[in-house]
Amino acid sequence: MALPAPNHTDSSRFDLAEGVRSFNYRRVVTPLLEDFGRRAAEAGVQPTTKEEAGELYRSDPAYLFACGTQRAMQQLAWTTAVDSIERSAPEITAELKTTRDSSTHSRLELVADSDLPDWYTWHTREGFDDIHLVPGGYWRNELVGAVYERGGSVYRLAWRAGYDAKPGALEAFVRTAPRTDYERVIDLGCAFGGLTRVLRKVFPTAEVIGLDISAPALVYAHHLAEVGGQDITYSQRDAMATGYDDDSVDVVTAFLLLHEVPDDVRARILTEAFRILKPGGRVMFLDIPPYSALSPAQAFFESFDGRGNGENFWEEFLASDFPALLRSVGFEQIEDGPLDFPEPGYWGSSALWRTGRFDEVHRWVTSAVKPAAAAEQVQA
Amino acid sequence: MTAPVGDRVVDGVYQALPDASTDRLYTLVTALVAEVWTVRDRLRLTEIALAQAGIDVEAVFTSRRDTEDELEAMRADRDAFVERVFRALLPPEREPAGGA
Repeated sequence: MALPAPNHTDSSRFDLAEGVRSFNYRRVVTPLLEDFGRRAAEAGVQPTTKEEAGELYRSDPAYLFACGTQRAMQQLAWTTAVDSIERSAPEITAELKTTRDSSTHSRLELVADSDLPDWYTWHTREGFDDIHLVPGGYWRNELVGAVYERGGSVYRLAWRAGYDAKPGALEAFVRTAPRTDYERVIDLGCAFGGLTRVLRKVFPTAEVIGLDISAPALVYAHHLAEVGGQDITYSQRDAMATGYDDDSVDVVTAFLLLHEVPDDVRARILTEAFRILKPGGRVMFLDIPPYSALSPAQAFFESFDGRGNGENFWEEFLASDFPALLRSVGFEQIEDGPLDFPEPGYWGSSALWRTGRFDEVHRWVTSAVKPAAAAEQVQA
Repeated sequence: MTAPVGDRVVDGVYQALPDASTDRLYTLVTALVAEVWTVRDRLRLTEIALAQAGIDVEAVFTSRRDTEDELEAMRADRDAFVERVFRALLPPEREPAGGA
């Protein structure tokens, strides 16, 4: 969507938020990380966990203000994005309605009066921090898609370039699949369709489906696909119970979904993915690196999101053994590691652990395959 | 009544307020006040001069778009501004002795 241009006040605030956050990463976070060895030596310790590393920082005003700065700028960006979009709400709403009423390329399937799960809504309902500190989470504001497109680009420190300015990493991720001639591909928790649109591009013969439980997110995703002339079906369904037949899908993907759900939900999503995949079918996930892949200091800085950025399930996912969960569900050929996609301007996906220097570990890929004999095993 | 614990020298550094974090925050706020006032006063004089020259200042804010050169200059100015305001929060400069 060509969003209405922000006014001068919005633009100034976005520029300031990007400038302050860049300062915070380069001039505060980076020296703090580089000082880890000295701090450990002075304290006479050799931290092996993020908690132990955190003891070297938690009482330091520089670290505490780094946290406060990150949070304040995140709030500034989102509140400004909301102001900016609400000023043009009638026009944006009308454009979304026009797309829904006259779509010719893509499809939108919404469920009337759908019940959203409690784990998804209670933070917003109770006035607590919700995902990424977005006001209203991803479900309460009907225009959250537009808000996210605008505010998310500030999070990427590139608001003037736009949210989708550099989709290369997503395409590199999708192209890690061994084939491109699939029949059906499903993107779980697709939100605004960032990955789904790339799936459409890379898998030209496949039926491409994006699922999410948030109707406002799907409305926006559908709009973007329609405007782009892409044949995609967006459907409001729960990733734990998709309703698709057994053995009917070639590839199941998810981008930044795994850390947004509780442990039990994550396990049920994998079980459902295993059920709908054809024997030999593949799951592919692009998410945040687990703590086990990082140094104790990096892991401590990465853990900030779980405390100060509304990531309510961050800790339980990043501290978990996700490959072991995949194995327990029945998957095999499990591969787990950083995405091989050099992008020097990429700052990273976690809120505070950013240094301005590219590190491929920021993007973490996990894939696995449903055994060819799985169908027989289930029937037996 | 408990006596305030600020206005003292801690590890060789003067501290006006009760804890180091609040002291840094107040330093930041005063730096920001200086920036805001300087800009306000400069803007006041600029708007007077522009109006006297018959230029519609409001139209500049609502419809004009920066060129790439102007954006580059803005970013340099912004980064210097952020450095001035937030320098109170910087960790002490020390030689690296093994990073993360």
